Formats: sequence, structure tokens, C-alpha cells
Amino acid sequence: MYFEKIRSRFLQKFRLGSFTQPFVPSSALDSSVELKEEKGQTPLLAIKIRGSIHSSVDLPRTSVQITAADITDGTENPLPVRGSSKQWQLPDSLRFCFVTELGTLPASITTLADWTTIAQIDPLWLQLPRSGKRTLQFSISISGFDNPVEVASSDCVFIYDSPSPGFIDLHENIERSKILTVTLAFTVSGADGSLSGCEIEMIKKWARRNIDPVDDSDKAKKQIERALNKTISLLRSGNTVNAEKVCLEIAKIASPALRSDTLEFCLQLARSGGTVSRTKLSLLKNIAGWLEVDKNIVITLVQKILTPDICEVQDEQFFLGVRPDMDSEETRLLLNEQYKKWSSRVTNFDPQIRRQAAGMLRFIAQTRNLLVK
Amino acid sequence: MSNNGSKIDTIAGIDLGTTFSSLAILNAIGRPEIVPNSEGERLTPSAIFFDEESSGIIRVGIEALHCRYLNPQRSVRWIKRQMGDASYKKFLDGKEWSPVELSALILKKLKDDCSVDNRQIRDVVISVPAHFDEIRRKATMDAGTLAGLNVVGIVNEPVATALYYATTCPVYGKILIYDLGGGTFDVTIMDVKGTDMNIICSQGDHELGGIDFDRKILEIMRSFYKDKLGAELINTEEERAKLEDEAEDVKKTLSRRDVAKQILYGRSGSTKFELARQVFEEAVAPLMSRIDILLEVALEEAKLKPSQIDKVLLSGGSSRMPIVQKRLRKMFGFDPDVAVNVDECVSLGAAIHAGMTLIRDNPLALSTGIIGGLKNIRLTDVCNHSYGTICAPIDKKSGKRVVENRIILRKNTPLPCQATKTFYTVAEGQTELEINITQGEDTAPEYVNKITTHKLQLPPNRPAECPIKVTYSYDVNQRMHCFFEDVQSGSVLEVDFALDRQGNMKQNEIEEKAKRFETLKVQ
Ligand SMILES: Nc1ncnc2c1ncn2[C@@H]1O[C@H](COP(=O)(O)OP(=O)(O)OP(=O)(O)O)[C@@H](O)[C@H]1O
Ligand SMILES: [Mg+2]
Repeated sequence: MYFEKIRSRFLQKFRLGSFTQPFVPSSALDSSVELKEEKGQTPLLAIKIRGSIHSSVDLPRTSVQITAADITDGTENPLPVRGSSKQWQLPDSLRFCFVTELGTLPASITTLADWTTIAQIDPLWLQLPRSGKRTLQFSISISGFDNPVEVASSDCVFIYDSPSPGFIDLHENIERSKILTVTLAFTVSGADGSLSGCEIEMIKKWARRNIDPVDDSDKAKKQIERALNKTISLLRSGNTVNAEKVCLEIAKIASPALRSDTLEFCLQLARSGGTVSRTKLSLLKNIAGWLEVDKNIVITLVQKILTPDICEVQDEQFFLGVRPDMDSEETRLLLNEQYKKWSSRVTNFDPQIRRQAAGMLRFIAQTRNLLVK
Repeated sequence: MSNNGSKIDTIAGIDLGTTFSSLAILNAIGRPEIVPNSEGERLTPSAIFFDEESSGIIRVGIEALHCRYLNPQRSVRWIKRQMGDASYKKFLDGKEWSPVELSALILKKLKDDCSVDNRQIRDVVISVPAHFDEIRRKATMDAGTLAGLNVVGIVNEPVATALYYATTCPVYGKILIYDLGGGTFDVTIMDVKGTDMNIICSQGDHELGGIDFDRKILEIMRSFYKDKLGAELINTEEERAKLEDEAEDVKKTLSRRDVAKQILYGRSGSTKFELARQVFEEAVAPLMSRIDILLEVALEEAKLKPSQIDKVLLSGGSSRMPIVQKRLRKMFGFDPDVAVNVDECVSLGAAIHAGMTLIRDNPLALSTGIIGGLKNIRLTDVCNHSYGTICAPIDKKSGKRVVENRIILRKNTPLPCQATKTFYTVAEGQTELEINITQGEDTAPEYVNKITTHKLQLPPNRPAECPIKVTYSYDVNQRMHCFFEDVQSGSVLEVDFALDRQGNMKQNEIEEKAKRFETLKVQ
């Protein structure tokens, strides 16, 4: 299908300006990073320096500031490295920054002949733009604590293999899963063979509201519209979408919250059609499973959005969480819980909720009559 | 009893039922007695018919039930199911009738019929299903006021049943009252030591009563007719009205016999219809499952096993169905107690409740005989619903504020009761607090009812998280009092629970309407 093929090109949004090498006269400082992994301990990045630091005044206290950038795509195309919490961020920015005190520097040249560790950084303090092997450039800057003049600086490069998804990955995943949600919505809408006009409008509205255009240009906005229209015409000309494949991709990249949003939208779309056919209901049930949405959330969403009376078949698993492996006693207790919940809602001021509650109570009683001996 | 001109004011209890209503008075020694209506019947059908021919006369009772066949559009039945529903209106001759007004007509018939022989019915207690919410309770009281009654209290139907039983025969232990009437089902569990009664909990369902069993039979009749004669049995409202009654007859017959027989007359001819009790019982199994669930939920709430129940008392006309007794025997292992008058015990108990209420509120109005008859009865009721307020705490997982309903007074707390919880303001510089009083068991605000909304003004220039103390109390007359206090400034908001929401009339409106009702002819 077409819609899921639009790829987001968000990288530009994140790029930093290219680097110019800092120039600090007189000092000749080297730096390096070493990954320390000891059994049973969290791995740490040890930041070390060596060489000479030249200070023209007595500095009773000095501080070291360590920042980082991701230069995997070259120093001309650096990407920021973020701090994972305020504590590890530059003021007014998300960028990583670690500051620590270094001690006294006399007004002369201080020479460190051996590698000296000045900081140990937990990799969890860093948020890299991408996962996997990344080339990181650490910048170390030494200055007076009360006197912000820099007395020495050094850059060093370290390759770190990051296991967790980067923030650009995450952003792309969010955008990607929204795009996939739209594709999935089209399959829900078309489950009974044809796409209805009002459902298409609902999907378009959702897409416009939720999918970020690459930039603010009209061109970017039009790209989404074009993709929507092309998908509709492909579906209308008989093409089909593999809903399972789409869901599995969403399940892989989207957070639980996002996945339940996707399911919620599919359910709302199904409800907007008035009645939910057997085919559509079974597709929705599968979608909930493929998306790996938490079972309790599925029940809450299904009960909130669908009602047994608008469904062609009444499914006790989907509506009430009765699983085939439950015995009579477990089913009985679960149904009693559900009954308690719905019976306090039959007097709701909202007639829609009252109707829904009345329908649920009837359905629960029928289910009990069927399944509890 | 006070002397009101030539008539003597008499205390009464009224069972305003879905299908039948009745009225009982307290006699000179404080014993309740049913007063027959002007037709000499102890029960009055809760049916209304607006007669076209003799305008100005509204028929209530058995006559209304019969007239219904002539013109179902001008008749009303089962109005109790619509009680509190602001959207329900009956349009007739350019006038619209609300459920409160229609119920008032039934009450007026009872009052007028029973106010004979020097007797004037004034102070009454009206019974409602235990699961009725505040809106329906208030609507029921309003109906009484419209009918010219002084409603001194509202009693839960199963409580009334228990009062009657406990004052009639010796009752001890954990008692379960099973009340299956015409339109509702209620189950109440209580702890009884003679005339000392403590309600433990109640559960109920307003879509479960005799008429639902009738409808099942009607469905069977229709499909039988269709199979036999290939035609619809019911084509008009008139035909429906007639067949509803026939279905009810079949149901009642099945309480006595294994098979009920009936000739079905339809447009495509007549056919002989037979229904075996077993077939009927299979058809109503989902309704019985619903009752089972409610029984189990009530037992669970009371933290009791079926084996810990000492006695099951039956109430309501539908408890005569053999399937009811069969199921109860299976669940509890013993036979339920069948009162002689399952359809009268509610109004009889309501009369006792009226006496008890007056002993507490206005003992001088009572004769020493009545006081002597009732003085030993002690009743502790419970809160019928949970009451709470809407707040916006920070969710620990997401760190975001979520709007939710917090319960302050929990359902089934013995009355009188009081509970306090502290909440915190959400914003810096917050000068106003929206206060919602809710009724319902859910955390999700969309599923609970906001029964009133008020605003509490707060001092300016304060940080967020200032404490607000919220206290709810509920008295034995089922009235609620809410108290909101800004702890730092001491500024308070008090809300006495008087409903003014949709569907419930304001006091002056009721009084004005009551005057109009006085002139209505109800027969
Ligand atoms: N012998 C019987 N067998 C079966 N049902 C019966 C029998 N006698 C009466 N009923 C049913 O009992 C119901 C009336 O009972 P009752 O008078 O207790 O109800 P109600 O007080 O009008 O209703 P509710 O209490 O639900 O508001 C009717 O539905 C009637 O059909
Ligand atoms: Mg009754």
C-alpha cells in the first residue's frame, strides 16, 4: 500500500551547526574516554586528561565541563547528544552537559604526565540520537569556578554501542507508527468490502491532526494529502493491506500508550459505521492482540467505545475478558466483577451511558447463563 | 394522630409499585393494616388512563387497566421505570405529563380512596427500591407532595419488608430479603436480633421484574403464532396491550401448573397455545442468571457465604414463581420463607417506618398506643450509594495530572456516617475551586453522576498544593451534608443535599403544581 511508504525525513530538524575547533592558547591538553565494565556494576565512561594546563592567574577553584555531540555522520554533520534529565543538561537546553570541580590551579603551567580520570559518566545520563554504534565527540573545557575564562580544552572521540533507541529513532518511531495507524485504519474501515465516505473523512481528520508534516511548508502538508488520496484509490481498486504485518511493525516500535491510542482510533472508526460486522469485530480483536495492548486496557477501551448491541456478534472475550481457558468458577467471578461495575452505571445522567450499561448487564447475564454451570 | 377539622390525620405507608400499589395505615396500637381502595381491592394497579369521553377525569387502577385495550395511547403503565428520567414525557391533549406527575396521580388515588370514614391520609412514608438513586428518591418524594401528601420519609422496599416480618414473627440472624416485584429486583442482607435490625447491604436491578418475564412469554407467543399461521400476532398497540395481559396470565398459571393453555386470537385466525413450565424456565434463564449475579454480589459485599445466611425472606408478587424458590433452595440449601402476603408486606412495613420516623421527629403527633407498639424497634440503615468528588491528582506513573472521581462516603456504610478527606489545590495563584459532588462507584469521571456543582473562592497569591478539607455526612433520613474547607484561610462552603438538577422540581414549583393537582379528579 502507499501510505505507510511515506518516510519521515526528520533528521534535518535535529542537526547542529558544524563544529569549529576551539582555540585556547598555551595549554596542551589531551583527553580520552574509556568504557569501564566491571562485573555486577553499571558500566561507566571514564573521562581522562593528560598534558599541560596554563593559567595566568591563581585559580583557587576550577571546574570541568564535559559536553558531547554525535559525529557519526562526520564533524560537518554533528547531531546533539541530550542529557537524560535536567541535572545532565545545559541550562535552557536539552543538550548533555556534565560539570564537576577540579581543584586549585596555581598561576603557572600545571602538567599531568599520566592519564588522570576527571569524571565518570553513566551512559544512562546520555540520550544519543540513534541506537547502535555511534561516534561521540566529547568536549572538555576547564575554567575558573568563579571566573568563567577557559584555561584549557580538549576534544576526544569515542565509539559507543548504544543498546537503547535514540531520541531521533523514538521521534521517527512515533511518526512512523502514526503513519501505520492510518494504514491500519483504512483496513478497519474497508473490512466489509467498501470504504465509506464518512469513515474516510474521519481518517483524514485524524491524519491531519496527528501526523507532523516534515516542515511547515505547504508542500509537506500536501505530501500527506497526496499519500492519503493515493492509498484510498489503491484500496478502491482492490488492493489489500496485510493488517497483521502493519500491527507487528507498530508493536515493535511504538510505546504502550501509542499502541492503545492506535487501537482506540480503530475502535472509534468501527463504531462510527453504526453496526460492527462479524468480520470487522474479528479484525479488531486480532488488531488488539497483534498490537499487544494490555488486556485490561483492551477491555476498558472496547467497553467504552463499542457496545454489544451494535455488534453483529457478541464476543465475551473481547467485551468482558472471558478467556476460553477459564473454568466456570473463574468466569463466574469475572462476570460478577463486570456486573458490579456496570450496574452502578445504569443510572448515569448520560442516556448514552445508561443504554450502554443496560446492554452490558444483559450481555453479562447471557454470558453467565451460557458459560457458568 | 391529630384532629384535622372533622377528619383525623392518619399515618400511612405507601408501596408505589411498578405494577401494583398499596397503602397501609397504623392502627391504634401501632400495627399496620392495608386499607382497600374504593373498589374494595387491597392492591391498586399502577395504571393510568386519560378518558377521552369524560374529560377532566383521570382513571387510575383496575379500570385504567381495562380501558387500556380501547386506547393504549391514552394509557400509562410501569411509570416507575421512568422515574427520574428527565427526557420522558407523556403528551396528551396538548399537555405533557412527567413521571413525577403521573406517579402523583397514582398516589392521589390511594390517598383519596383511603381518606374515608373520618380518616385523612397526610403523613406518609413511600417505599422505593434500595437501588434507587437520589434523583429517583427525590422524584418519588415530589410525586407525594404533588398528590397532597406530607412525605415524612422514604424507605427502601426490602427494609420495609424486613420491618414487617421482624415485627410479625420472631426473626434472628443474617437475613436475606429477596424482593422480585413487577418491575424491579432488590436483594438486601441484614442482621436481625428480634426488633433490632441492621442493614448490611443492598443490590438491585431496575430492569428485572415480572414484566420482563411477561415479555419473554410474549416473545414465545409471537414466534409460535408466526410458525403456526405465518403471520404477525401483534399488529397494533391495542393487540399488544391485550396480549401483555394474556402473557401475564400464562405466567401466573405456570406458578400453579406444569402447563398453561391459551387460545391466541390474531388477524390470521386463532390457534391453541400451550406452554410448559420447563420451556418457560429455560426462556427466562438469562433473567434468573441476572438475579443469581446480584445475590452473589450482595453476599460478597456482606462478606458472607450462602451457608452463613440464616433465613431468606421473599417479597414481591414475582417471588411466587416456582423457579425462584427452586434456585434459592439450590443456592442456600433450604427453603425460603414465604410470607402470606408477599405483595402487601412492603406497604405494611412502610407504615411501621412512618410511625418510627414520626416518633423520632414529632412524637407529640402520635398516640401513646402507636408509640408503645413501635418503641422497641431499632433500625440501622446504610448509605445506598457512594459519594465523592472530582479531583486531579498527579499520576505516579506518567507524572501527569489525571482527572478522577474520589469516593468519600462509601456505599453500605451504616447511617448516620461521616467521612473526611483532604485534597490539594492544583495551581499557583488559584482563586477558585470548582466543587463537584458525585454519586457513583467509578474512578473515571464520565461514569459517575455530578449531582451538584459549586464554587469555593480562595485567597489570592498562594502557591499550589494548599489543602482543602472535604467532609461528607449522611443522616438517618438519607439527607447528605457536604462541607468544604480551605484549611489556611478557614473559608468554607456548605452544601445541604437538595436536588435541583434536571428532572427535579424546585420547592415553589412543586407547591404551585400541588395546588393544581388538588382540583384534578382521579378515580
Ligand atoms: N402467582 C404469580 N406468579 C408469577 N408472578 C406473579 C404471581 N402473582 C403476581 N405475580 C407478578 O408479580 C408482579 C407484581 O408484584 P408486586 O406487586 O410485588 O410488584 P410491584 O410492587 O408492582 O413492583 P416493584 O416492586 O417491582 O415496583 C407482577 O409482575 C405479577 O405478574
Ligand atoms: Mg413492590
